[in-house]
Amino acid sequence: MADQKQVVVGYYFGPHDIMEAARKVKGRGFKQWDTFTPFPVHGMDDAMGIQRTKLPYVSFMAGAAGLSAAIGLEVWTHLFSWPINIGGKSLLAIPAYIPIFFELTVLFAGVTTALAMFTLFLKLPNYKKPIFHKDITNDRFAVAIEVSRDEEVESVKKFLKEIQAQDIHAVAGKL
Amino acid sequence: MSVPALKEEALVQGTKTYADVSNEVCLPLESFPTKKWWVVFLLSLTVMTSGFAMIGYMIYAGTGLSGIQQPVGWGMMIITFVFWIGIGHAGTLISAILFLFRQKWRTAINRSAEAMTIFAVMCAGVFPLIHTGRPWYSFYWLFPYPNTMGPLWVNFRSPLLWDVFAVSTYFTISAVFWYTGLVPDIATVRDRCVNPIRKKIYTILSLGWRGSSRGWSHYEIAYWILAGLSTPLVLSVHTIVSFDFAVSIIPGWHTTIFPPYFVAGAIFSGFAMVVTLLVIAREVFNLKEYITIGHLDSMNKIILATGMLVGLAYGTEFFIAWYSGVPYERFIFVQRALGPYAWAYWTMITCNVISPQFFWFKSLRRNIPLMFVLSIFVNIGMWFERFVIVVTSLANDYLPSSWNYFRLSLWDYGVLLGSFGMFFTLFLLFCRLLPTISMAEVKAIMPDQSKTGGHHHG
Repeated sequence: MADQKQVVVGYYFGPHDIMEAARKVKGRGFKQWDTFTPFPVHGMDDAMGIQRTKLPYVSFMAGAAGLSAAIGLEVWTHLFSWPINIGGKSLLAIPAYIPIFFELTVLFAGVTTALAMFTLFLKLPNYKKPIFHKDITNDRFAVAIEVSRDEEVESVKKFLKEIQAQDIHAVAGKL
Repeated sequence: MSVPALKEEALVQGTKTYADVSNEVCLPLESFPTKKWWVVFLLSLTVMTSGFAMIGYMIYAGTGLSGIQQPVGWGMMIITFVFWIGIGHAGTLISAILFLFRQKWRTAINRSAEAMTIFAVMCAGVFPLIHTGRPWYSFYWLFPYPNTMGPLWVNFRSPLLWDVFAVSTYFTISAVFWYTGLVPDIATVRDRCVNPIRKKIYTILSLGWRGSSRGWSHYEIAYWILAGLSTPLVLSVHTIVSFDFAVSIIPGWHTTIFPPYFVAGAIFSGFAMVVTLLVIAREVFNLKEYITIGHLDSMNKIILATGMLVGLAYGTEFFIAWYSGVPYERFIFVQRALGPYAWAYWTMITCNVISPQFFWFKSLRRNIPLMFVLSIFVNIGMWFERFVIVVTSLANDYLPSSWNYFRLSLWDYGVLLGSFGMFFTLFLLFCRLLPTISMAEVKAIMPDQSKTGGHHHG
């Protein structure tokens, strides 16, 4: 039977230190690991080797969908569903449609960006994941490495100690 | 080699640790409200409730209770609607436009300014609904939806409908932007909670945020995109509000200067409201080291700049009215300055053009009692600006026999006051329930507190 997964966690107290640590952890080639910080640390993406998010493509598609919806709604309404001849003016009044084209584009893109970011990319809401320390959202910067075998725990702890992490501990469960 | 740079004032004063920020910002959430808070809250709540009672009776008895008449069919409701929408604009400017321009000083004030935006748009939304007289029909008057009344649709060619789309989009996107910014801070509050019920509520609201760097990476891009979308959005909203006037062919309204003029006025009044609120909030909630005098100074500079833009617009309007050679246009503008509503016009000029001039001087920009008084003057002036625009053009229309003098009724005053009660009630609740300062963003601009080799990256 396979051992239960565990997460080894160590702490730092500032962006510079956690970034240094992240570089070293990345160098060791762990499969599942992450850092946790109270605020976004600039340069962390490079230090951890995180790929740039694909979120902008989602936003663009949503904006395009919003624009198409607006075009469809306005043009179809005026040309087909309820054409009203007002003094022989053109039924297709494109300049008058522009404000709603713009608004629906922004509406679709904005709402989708936030929704997609939280649900698709961050897999939230998720209340099951372990919170390693209550001060991670306050003033602590954690590095967490997932291990699958008990005998690895000690070596990872030793490694974290070498890179000057504080209060190192192991938690049962996945990252 | 070191590069000489301008010495900047510290954005956060004192020598604070990250934990100090959390402790001080969360304090109002975690302690029982002070007596001062209760007094102001109960007062606002009473004003709001009486305002809503008056709205209730107005809907029952009819909008005739309002001062609207022939020919002034757009009275207090539309004036106040435009006023509140304008107030909201500063919040989005601070949260989105200053973010795109990397103005780091925005971090201390963006949360409360965004809250103000949302509450102001909510207050604004009440007015067109009452103005319809039968708000329960508003859904099919305002929104296009498939129905069984024949093919029957709203008119997409009408600026009033564009306004429905603009304002509802603005509200939705502002709320989404605000909540997105709040999630990491709600997680901070969650992790500090002792009371299990509070903990449960903040846990749900935090969505289970853990501060993972892989998460922050997506989050930051999302924040950039939302800022990028909000920036043209906020400019579009008051542009479209101005179309309500400019697309019609009423003298005094039918001008191409309206969109930029309205946007400048909106930012002007919005910043004044931010100053009014923050001068109080930093005092009451002890946030003077975060919302520093330097922040207020910067905001006063924006008030001065936008005030000058508004003044320029007033002048340009007059010049164009004369230069156009259109007698109706000329007549309306002479009426504005010298006619029966001259008192309103000069109130507007005094409050909007003259009062910000004090802010040319640094010592006055940093004088708290003065800026508080001036910010209120600006708001009075901006309400009167909309009064002047709406009333002067309508009261003296093309047919002199129908001219009429417009007065606000008692009900108008009550409902107007009620909207301020609603705004302050919501803002006071916000100050007690959510962190008023974006902790994650403020911590990110503070000096690095690493144990080894920390460097300033602010």
